[in-house]
Amino acid sequence: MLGYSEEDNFQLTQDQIDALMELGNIGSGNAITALSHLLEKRIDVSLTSGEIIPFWKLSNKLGDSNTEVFGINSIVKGETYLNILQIFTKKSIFNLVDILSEQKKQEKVPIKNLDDFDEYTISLIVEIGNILAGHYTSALADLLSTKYIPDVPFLALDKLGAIINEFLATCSEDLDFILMINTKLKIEDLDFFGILCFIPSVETLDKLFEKLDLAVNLNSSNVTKVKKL
Amino acid sequence: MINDIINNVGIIPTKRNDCITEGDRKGEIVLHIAHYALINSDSKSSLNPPKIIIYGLGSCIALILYDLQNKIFAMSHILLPYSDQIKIASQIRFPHKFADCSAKDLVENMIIQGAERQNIKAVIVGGSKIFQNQMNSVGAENIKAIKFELKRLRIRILREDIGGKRGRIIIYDTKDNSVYVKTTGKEDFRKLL
Repeated sequence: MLGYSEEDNFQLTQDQIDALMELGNIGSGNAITALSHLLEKRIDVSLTSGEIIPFWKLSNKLGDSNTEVFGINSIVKGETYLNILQIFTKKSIFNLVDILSEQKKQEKVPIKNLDDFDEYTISLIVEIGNILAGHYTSALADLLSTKYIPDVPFLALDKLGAIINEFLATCSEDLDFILMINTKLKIEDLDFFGILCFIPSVETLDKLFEKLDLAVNLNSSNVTKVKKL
Repeated sequence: MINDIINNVGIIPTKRNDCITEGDRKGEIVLHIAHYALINSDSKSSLNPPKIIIYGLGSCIALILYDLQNKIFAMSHILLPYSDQIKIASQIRFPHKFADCSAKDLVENMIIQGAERQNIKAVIVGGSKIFQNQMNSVGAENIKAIKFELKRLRIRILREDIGGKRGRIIIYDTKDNSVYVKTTGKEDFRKLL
């Protein structure tokens, strides 16, 4: 049948879900510690949640498609590849830039476009994304005794829907379902709110479960229809 | 709510989960990626022609096809250019994910509803590149693929609003067949058709 139906959803065992949550906790914990050191602030972190969802529901899961946010997408390469997507509200990045560059330029010029930033600010934002993604993946790599190297992240300031569109276009070529493990972070006194999403490819999932001794026959040659467990 | 709408498809001969034919209570259809909306204003089910909306159109393409004579309006939300990666056609569960399948499938479905091929006109919107430092642009590929496919199907593109660096919001009002587009960062909608 064409389109989405619940039956085709691929399922994981409880052990596997727990393992993935734990990986998410370790990764995001590491990333957030790094950010906390950088800002010298306390960061509140939600519990990691994980879900398997059809790709077109992704933007609904992350928030309102019609709000303007910053999106930072890192493609991480190693034996297999995975994606770390970071979504931050507009205000949080402005505040973050103010703190790190020790000046208040946002109040003078209204920022509507990435072009309104100078090159220094852009690279500052990209670097924050890089630090978070780097620490996230290095924790995963340590745990699984393998190597993951994040590429230079891609930065966008646009509607959430549009960012998710473009993100999906780069990562879901032949996949109808996406496994998403996300952690929300918040800094009260900075009005900072963001989401860290860890989105492994099917090959990465295979590898992860193999390393953790939870291997099952996710048939990776037939990714469009992952076998039911 | 959308799920209910998707599951309640009645008119199309084969049941499809990726087709939306009626608006919600507000008379709106929020079109998700790889889904399509098909409005047949002559049939009883569409007494109140809905607005079809996509919030946040990045590198994706919104393909609008319509036949004014027979009052059949359709829009699809396309994610990727080519379906070559998936070799077996039966494995494609979302034809409207790909530009090449989408145009063909949309035309076929319109003809089933009673549209005539020579009356069908097209409007395309989208295909921007919003991640700035990215090398390859899926948006540009999408535009190329959809233009090629429409040319092959001999459908004229009446209006287009494509490319650029910003996302878009598109509203297609099937009541009077008008298209409004707003680019992110701008204040107002502008009328495209």
